Amino acid sequence: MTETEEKIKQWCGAATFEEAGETVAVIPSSELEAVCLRLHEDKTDPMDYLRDLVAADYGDKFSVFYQLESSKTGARVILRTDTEGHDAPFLPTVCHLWKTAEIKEREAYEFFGIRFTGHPDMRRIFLREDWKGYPMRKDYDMNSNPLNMEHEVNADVTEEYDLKPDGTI
Amino acid sequence: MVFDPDDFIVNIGPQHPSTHGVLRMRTSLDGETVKKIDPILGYIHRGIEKMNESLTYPQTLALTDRLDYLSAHQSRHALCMCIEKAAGIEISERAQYIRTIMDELQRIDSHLLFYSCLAMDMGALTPFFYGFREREMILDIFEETTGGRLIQNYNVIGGVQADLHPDFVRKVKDFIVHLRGIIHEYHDIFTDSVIARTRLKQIGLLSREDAISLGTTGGTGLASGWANDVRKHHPYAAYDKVDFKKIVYPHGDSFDRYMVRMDEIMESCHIIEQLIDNIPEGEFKVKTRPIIKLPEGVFTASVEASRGEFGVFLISKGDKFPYRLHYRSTGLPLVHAMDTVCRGGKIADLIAIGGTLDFVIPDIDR
Amino acid sequence: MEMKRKLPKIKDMTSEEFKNNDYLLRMVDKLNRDGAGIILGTLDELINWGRSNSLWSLTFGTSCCAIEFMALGAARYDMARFGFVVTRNSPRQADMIMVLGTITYRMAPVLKRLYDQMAEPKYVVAVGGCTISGGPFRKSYHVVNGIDNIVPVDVYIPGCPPRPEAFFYGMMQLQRKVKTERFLGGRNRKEKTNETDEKKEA
Repeated sequence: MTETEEKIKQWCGAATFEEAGETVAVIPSSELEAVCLRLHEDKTDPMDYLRDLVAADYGDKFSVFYQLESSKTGARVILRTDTEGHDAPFLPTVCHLWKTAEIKEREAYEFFGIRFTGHPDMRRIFLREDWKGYPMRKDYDMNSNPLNMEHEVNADVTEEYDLKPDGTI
Repeated sequence: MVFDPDDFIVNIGPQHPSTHGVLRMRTSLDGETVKKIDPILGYIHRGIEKMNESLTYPQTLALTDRLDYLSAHQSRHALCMCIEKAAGIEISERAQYIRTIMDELQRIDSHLLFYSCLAMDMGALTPFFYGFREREMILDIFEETTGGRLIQNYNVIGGVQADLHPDFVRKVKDFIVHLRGIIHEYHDIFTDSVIARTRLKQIGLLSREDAISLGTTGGTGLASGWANDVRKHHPYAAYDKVDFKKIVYPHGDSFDRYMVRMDEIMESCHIIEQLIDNIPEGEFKVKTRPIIKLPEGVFTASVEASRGEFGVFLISKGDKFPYRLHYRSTGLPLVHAMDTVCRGGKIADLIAIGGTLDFVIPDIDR
Repeated sequence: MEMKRKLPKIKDMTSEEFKNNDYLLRMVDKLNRDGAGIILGTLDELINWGRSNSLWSLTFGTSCCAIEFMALGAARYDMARFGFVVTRNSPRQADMIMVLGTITYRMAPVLKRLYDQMAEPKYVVAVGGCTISGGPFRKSYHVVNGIDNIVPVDVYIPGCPPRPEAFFYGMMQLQRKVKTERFLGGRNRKEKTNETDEKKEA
């Protein structure tokens, strides 16, 4: 285990590690913000470069992988968080730490339907504004959106989600 | 809130004479000063990631060439590296050298096109023809070995598709000599012109912290003072056997972004010169099984494409189809950076900045 | 018993050098049924010669084929010697639209709008596998399988991407088509409407 992974284990006791292929640190979504903040502010390897934010559909839950790298030393680490369940999934946002997360979280929302609480601008980016469904889910019907020749209307106001004790607004 | 109700919004529409592809930017203006940019992507979204989940591994290679067609070799190299790492296939030295040389030739090709298109966007039409003249020489070299000019289908799982043409070494050496002799023409006509300098210096400043936080790799990051070359930090293929300088410029304006790429052309020539005489003998492709099944798990690989760091992220469940194959595109952070960089500038600067950031839209939309 | 059909005589572009002549034969047959006067006939030839040698296209490149088009405009394969000197940026000033690259569901209304904004007589050239039938992306959920679902196409240029020589063959086919049209009087420009009318009656 690399140094960074040792530190993650120290900070968050509930973290587990999966070793198939690359080493992935699995962190519960309630601790995600704290761990990311400490990784970002670390003294020896500040993880200030978010390489990528990838979402995946595992059938009964969604997972989001964060690939981080340190610009000073080049150390890399991969984190993973899971949502609870398949309907109305949501996760906390990290765009106050890494600005590139703003556009990557929009992509994850668009293809999987994962809402990020605290994100300033949660709307679709690649598909039309009136597209129904989330294409990359495993249960998406490929014929559900036929060719629509009407011009789309672009919204000027978007929604921002905040976390209530039981869910999102 | 994206835009206020009393903002004046202008659409820089998907069809425009600039050459990056179909990008639509809704810009809110105050006179000629840009207040906010909202980029709208997806006009070339082809759903490649969804298609990948129903294709076998050799079939997924065919689509990577068409993602960022100006780094076709490099994108395909990343995917082949990822699959080979996961399946445990070792490729021969000769294939490593060939892949590296082809990558560097592709990088020169892409930067020459960057130069031509930047000049054309800013109104200078003659450098367009200069850049394409040298580019045609590289495409001739590619075509003899691989059979294609733009879409080459060259890297495969286990090596490369066909061996080098017997004339390859001689032609590459002639080309490098020719390029070194003629690059001064490029600088004479564009770099030293007073109009280019006034339009590019001190325009579109991007600070180092912003560049790292926005994740803008490649030439843009190098021009802001962030040394982020994947070839240096995580070397792959034959890059640990060559030595080349790090090119870092401190200011972070458009002129530095332009100069970074012109210097990278010269560095690529230097890398090719070190490798071209020492290509080892051996086989160019290792025999693989006809049906490739990867073990379960998560695999990543990344290369330094012409525009930044191109990464591949693969989740496999032991099947012959990937469960999730995702590409970390080089251009998505750059388009996001347009908003930060262009605020407060004028519309004419927006075009120049878009040209120097050098993104290619099919790579973003996948 | 088959009579040897007389191939249409087009100035400077003999029929023996080109392979697909059938569509021209059909067009010429239709024109000859209606007949053409002597004065209008010669004036037509002159105008069509001028029109076909200066077709200016709209800059519309979405994807990889656009780079091959730029290489076509550069110095080695010079398309200016065929008459396609400049590309116009506004659809109201362009003669034809070369659709280069994949057309997706989001882009389709934009393409139709640009086509509608062009002034008659206008032509459409579908370049590359993606525009002819969807190409390598046919199974995707967001790609239009062939742009003839959206706009009427005059010439198809296959390839992925087509070589510059294939581009030239296609553009010369378009020039031949323009040369056999009747410009003054007559309805041959709405060729597609004639055919669809007949199909509807049948």
